[in-house]
Amino acid sequence: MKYIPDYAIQVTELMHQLEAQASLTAVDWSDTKRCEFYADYVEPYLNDLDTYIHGGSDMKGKGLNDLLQFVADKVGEFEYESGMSVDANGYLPESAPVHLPGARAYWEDDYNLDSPGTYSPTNLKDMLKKRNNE
Amino acid sequence: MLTEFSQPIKAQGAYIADHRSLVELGNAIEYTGDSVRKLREAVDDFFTGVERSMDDIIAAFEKQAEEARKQLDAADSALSACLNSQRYDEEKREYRPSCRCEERDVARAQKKVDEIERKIGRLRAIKDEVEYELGIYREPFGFTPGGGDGLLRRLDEQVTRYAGEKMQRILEVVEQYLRVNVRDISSPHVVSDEPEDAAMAEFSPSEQRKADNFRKGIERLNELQHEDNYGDRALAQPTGVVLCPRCHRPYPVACICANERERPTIFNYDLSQSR
Repeated sequence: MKYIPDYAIQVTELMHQLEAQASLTAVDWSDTKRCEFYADYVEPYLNDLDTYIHGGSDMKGKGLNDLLQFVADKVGEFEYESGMSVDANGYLPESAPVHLPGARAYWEDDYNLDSPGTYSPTNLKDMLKKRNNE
Repeated sequence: MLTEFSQPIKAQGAYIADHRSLVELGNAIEYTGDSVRKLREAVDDFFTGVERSMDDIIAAFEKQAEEARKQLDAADSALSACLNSQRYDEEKREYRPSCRCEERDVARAQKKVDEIERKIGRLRAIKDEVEYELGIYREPFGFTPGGGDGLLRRLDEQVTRYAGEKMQRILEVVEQYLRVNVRDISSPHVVSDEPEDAAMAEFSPSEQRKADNFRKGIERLNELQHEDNYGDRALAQPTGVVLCPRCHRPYPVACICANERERPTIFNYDLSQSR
């Protein structure tokens, strides 16, 4: 498998969208109910999505990013051993659809990539590293 | 001019400058939940696709191994036949023919079978490693933490729902305070209370008709508000507003068309001039 899908990036994008809306709403809504709501629902939501991508003590196994990388590595070994392409059977979807507007343009502008559907493992790692440092 | 929509709510420690912002947050959680559900399905499809593809490739090698075993059986038979055959020379003396060619065929077929089986073993080992990790990923959350898929399922089935319900309850309070519909999901919700209904029961038929028209106007306003909140709006434009088609003012904050329509028109005729 030459490329791995950009699901981790998409989850990150969902987190950014929710964070942005929560910040906007916090400007208009400032009372104890807001604090309770954010502590009970918004922050756990964002934490869970972050755990889903990066893994941690709140879940078993690898985070999505490491898991996709692991599967891509194993598929590479499998293809090397078999001499056949795992993608050739047509079972693999290209990528999950982008549900939120602006995300695609954001990737293209910020990362100067013309094909946001799938990225090579190196690109994905660089992008996540860059985003985490932001 | 401040209308009731633009007045911040300040009651019992609550401060809400713009109730639509809460609706937007509710929408954002709802949309995120929906996207998480779709993403979870897509990731699962991807991993299932990898497993199925690996299975197909292993099955193809198993077919090759079966063919190789058949060739080995055939070579074995040929060697046995060769070894068991007797030949006689011109002087009718018995001798055993050389079977080196058949032996070479058997060795070659055996080597092929071994190679394919070794390859299948390695491919199965790689697939087992992938399946082990994917098995952990698919573990549901219970008394102990589950895998990533279980985490997303919990987000989808519990957190999104509870957050949505909580937001609905908060908006219900806001609605009762502002007496507007801000949280409608399936059908327009008309806010009413007992004293108002009791007062309307004493209206004359013409007043009742006016009140009905007014109520219809409010329902239409609620429908437009519903479209504003849950229609085809992009999250990336949280400040977007709907403009009234008549007066082109932001609707419903500054638009007063609906109110004007319901007001009786008063004409001040100067009766002395008409005579």
